[in-house]
Amino acid sequence: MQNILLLFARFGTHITFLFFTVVSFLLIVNYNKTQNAIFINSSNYYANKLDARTSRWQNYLSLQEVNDSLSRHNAELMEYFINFRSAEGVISDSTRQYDLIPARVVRSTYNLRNNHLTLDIGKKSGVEKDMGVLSEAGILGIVKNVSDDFSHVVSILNSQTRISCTVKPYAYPGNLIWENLDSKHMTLESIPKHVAISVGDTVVTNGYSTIFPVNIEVGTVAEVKTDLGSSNFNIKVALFNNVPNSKRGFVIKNNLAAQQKTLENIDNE
Amino acid sequence: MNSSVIIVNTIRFFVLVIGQVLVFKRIAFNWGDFAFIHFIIYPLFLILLPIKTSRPLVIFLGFLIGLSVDLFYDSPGIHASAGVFTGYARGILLDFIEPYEGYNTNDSPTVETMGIGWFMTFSSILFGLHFLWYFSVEAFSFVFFFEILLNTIFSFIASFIIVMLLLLIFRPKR
Repeated sequence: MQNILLLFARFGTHITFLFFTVVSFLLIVNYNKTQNAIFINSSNYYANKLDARTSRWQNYLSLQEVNDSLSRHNAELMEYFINFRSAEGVISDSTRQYDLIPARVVRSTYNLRNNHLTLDIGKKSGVEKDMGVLSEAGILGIVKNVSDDFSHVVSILNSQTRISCTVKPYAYPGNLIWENLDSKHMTLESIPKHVAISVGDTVVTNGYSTIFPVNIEVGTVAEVKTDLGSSNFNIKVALFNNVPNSKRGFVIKNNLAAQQKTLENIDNE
Repeated sequence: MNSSVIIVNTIRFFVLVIGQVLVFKRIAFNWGDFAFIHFIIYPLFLILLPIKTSRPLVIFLGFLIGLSVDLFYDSPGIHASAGVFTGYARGILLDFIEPYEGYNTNDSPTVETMGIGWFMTFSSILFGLHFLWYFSVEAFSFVFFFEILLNTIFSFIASFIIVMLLLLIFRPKR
């Protein structure tokens, strides 16, 4: 109480002024038509401005959500597209071979000899070992290990990478490897010399493995070399996607993989 | 503060309010479209309060006299806010233009006690601020900047002349 009195002794004049100003302004806007109208109009004006500003901030803050939903949507579209191609136009729930699971890249390396990615989804979302990972524009890698909530992915920028690819429109199988060039180029081996390949042709997966579906576009032919004494081309491939910069990926779940693998391994047992 | 000061100021309060609402409210200068002159003399009450009146009390009296005038002007709050502002400005202004010798505690600031120069400065600044505030609040938006300015200037000149005449006639001692 004493403090309040001291405060008033010191700032009493200002407090009284503010108090009576507020009182009189309340009277003004409540009992005068003109001032009331002006007050309401201008306060609406400022309120609207504030609303617009706030909603802009909210939009910014909800970008994550928007991105997630767009990513889900992309996954659906890509899923449909991939299934459509692999089923050659006849698509139904029973022929749906591939499911795409959207994921976020939470960690990634790209300047080592053997690079890896970590995704924020794992067993709980249905990810298993040896599934392929796509990005919007190309391929990212292959799942190596899975925990409940995360999966560890061998990036295509890895010395162990071998992805079965071909050059459109041919079906000759080649191996896509990474020779530590840079994060935008890979090398395609084992394409025979007699195939007429020119710079700019599209490199696609050929679907020989259970990991990637057929016809996923990977990149374009940037340079065609012929090594002496070799019967194969050594093709430099410019990737479509920028692996270091990938923030999102799509894990491809091949529903028929188990069946195919069992069949292929019958003789080995 | 003795009781005669209170009585004098109370009487002055009512006389100024009544004079304002019965006489000066009805004087309207209309030269064609030219209607920027309003006679407002009641701030004289705040000017003539004793110098050492407690400042929150001055502000409260400003609110009170403004509200009384508002009752007759059908504009609740507008004169009151101007009165509050003038009461607040009075305290600050007194600090600014305090003479070298300081104030005599029981004096009212009049021509006799403070001299014509000091009194003119004091009252004209307060009247000017009062008009500026009043017309700003009346327009309630600075979109009407020129109307506010014209109203302030012309009403200030007209009212100030009237106030000086009143002071000449009645010569208040305190």
